[in-house]
Amino acid sequence: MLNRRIFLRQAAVGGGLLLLPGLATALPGRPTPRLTILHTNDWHSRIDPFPDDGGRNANRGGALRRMHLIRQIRAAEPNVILLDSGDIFQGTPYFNFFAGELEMKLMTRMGYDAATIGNHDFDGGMENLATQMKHANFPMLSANYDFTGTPLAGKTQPYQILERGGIRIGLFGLGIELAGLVPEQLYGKTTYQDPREVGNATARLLREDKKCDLVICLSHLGFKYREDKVDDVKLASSSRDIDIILGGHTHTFLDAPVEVPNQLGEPVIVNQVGFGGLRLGRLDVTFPGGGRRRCVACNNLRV
Amino acid sequence: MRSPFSFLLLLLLALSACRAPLDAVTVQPQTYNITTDLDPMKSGAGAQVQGEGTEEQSMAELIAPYKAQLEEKMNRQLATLAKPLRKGNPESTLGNWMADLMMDAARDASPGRAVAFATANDGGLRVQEIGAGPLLVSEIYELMPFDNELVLVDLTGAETMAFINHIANSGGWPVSKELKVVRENGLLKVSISGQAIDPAGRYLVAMPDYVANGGSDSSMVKGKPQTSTNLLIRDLLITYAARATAPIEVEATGDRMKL
Repeated sequence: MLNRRIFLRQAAVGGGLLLLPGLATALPGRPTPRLTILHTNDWHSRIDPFPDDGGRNANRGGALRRMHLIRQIRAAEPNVILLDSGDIFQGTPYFNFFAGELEMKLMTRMGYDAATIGNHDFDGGMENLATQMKHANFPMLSANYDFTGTPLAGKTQPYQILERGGIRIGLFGLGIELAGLVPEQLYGKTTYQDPREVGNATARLLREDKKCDLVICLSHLGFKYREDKVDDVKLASSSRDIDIILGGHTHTFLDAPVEVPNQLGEPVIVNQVGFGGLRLGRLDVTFPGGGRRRCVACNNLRV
Repeated sequence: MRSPFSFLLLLLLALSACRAPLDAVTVQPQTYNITTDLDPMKSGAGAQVQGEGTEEQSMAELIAPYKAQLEEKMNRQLATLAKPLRKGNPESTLGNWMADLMMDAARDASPGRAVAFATANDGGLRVQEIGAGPLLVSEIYELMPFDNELVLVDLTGAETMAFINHIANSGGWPVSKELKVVRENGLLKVSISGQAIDPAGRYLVAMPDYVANGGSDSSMVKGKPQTSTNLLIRDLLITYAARATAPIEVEATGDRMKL
């Protein structure tokens, strides 16, 4: 177990309680860099909590509560990043009437570091997405949509590198095939490229050339399909350089992340937290050994 | 729950003290449910970030004017639901209700020619459930947030059958009461208003333009003759839902779609 490059601990699902992982400071005198990753997906314009109508999700979710939780975690943790895996737009009248403006403003207030583009983020058209991105101070990441010749050309980026507490984090985005899913007039000249090909090349770039300690994919591919269609699990098994896949699209409620062996037999962590802003996912990544082992894929560094 | 893991943890940490370079990077996952416990104005944990002048308060102030504009439009009551409407496959109360209203609207929009049935892609219904009690405009927006238009697609009997096969193979979509589909021994038995489908006949099928243009993998209806109704599905649901004269109660008996 100690030779695995990532060891996934027992998961906790809770309400508002702050369950701290309680690992990092256990050894006195040894700084153990820890990164706290917070993530959402498919929050679908759910600014207010779900209506109080006796339904399953009645009075759950809500942007203010999410903000409150994020602030509590930020107050307790030194190195926090906040990410979203797409489908920010569409689902409540806020989107119908204000076209995603408030969603972007709220995510900016919450301090999102990056998001990827979901199929419903095209719903107002690409011109609209470009307009609403002006209200966002975080990048929209997409490595496999080519927006050349569209209103989004030059407005997105394939990847982003962040540094937190000396940890170098490579983030990149992957989107789902648009044909047959999004009306053609909404995605226009956008071309979709194979997520496995582009994703693995981008992850390699982040790991090898950009020297990232941790490589995270923001995916809107979907968790798992029975048919051939590419999903997070297939992406993970085809990969070598991706450590974590934070997914979306299939609105999958995973109570705990799953581990999928990659090409080298090493575990890739795949997570997804439902939809509608009902949940916030958290992964605390601890790099032990007084910072000597900072990268995740350290096997090649062992003497 | 915690103690066996604490033990494991100690063990790992103890090992790590002498074998640091071989340690695994650990990932501690956690999932938070966003519930009323996290209301910023509630007492309890996180008291340091509450009250006047907090970021939460300023965020609430950012939302307020948008919310106020919506509330005027969204809080109108259209009808009363005697029972919840629930989404499901292959047939559901929510799906039956919606498809029947689409059919009513399609009929009114096509006085010259009979409409065979109405359907919508299952993925286009964006809520799992509408609770019993007052039915509000906001709930229709959440059910059908897309600006999808109702269109009438002119299909041959064979094309209609291919489309119905697609519906069944997708696990069953909402269909209006004219259509009955039963899978028996792997074969579909299909009738429209009590009649078997005539492969040489022509059928006018009401559906969202999203589907008619090939969405939800409906390539078999893409490019077929389309008639616009100029009705957004959301708007017609609002109009037709408000015509109910009694509390709405919908059954889903498997009469329409049994797979």
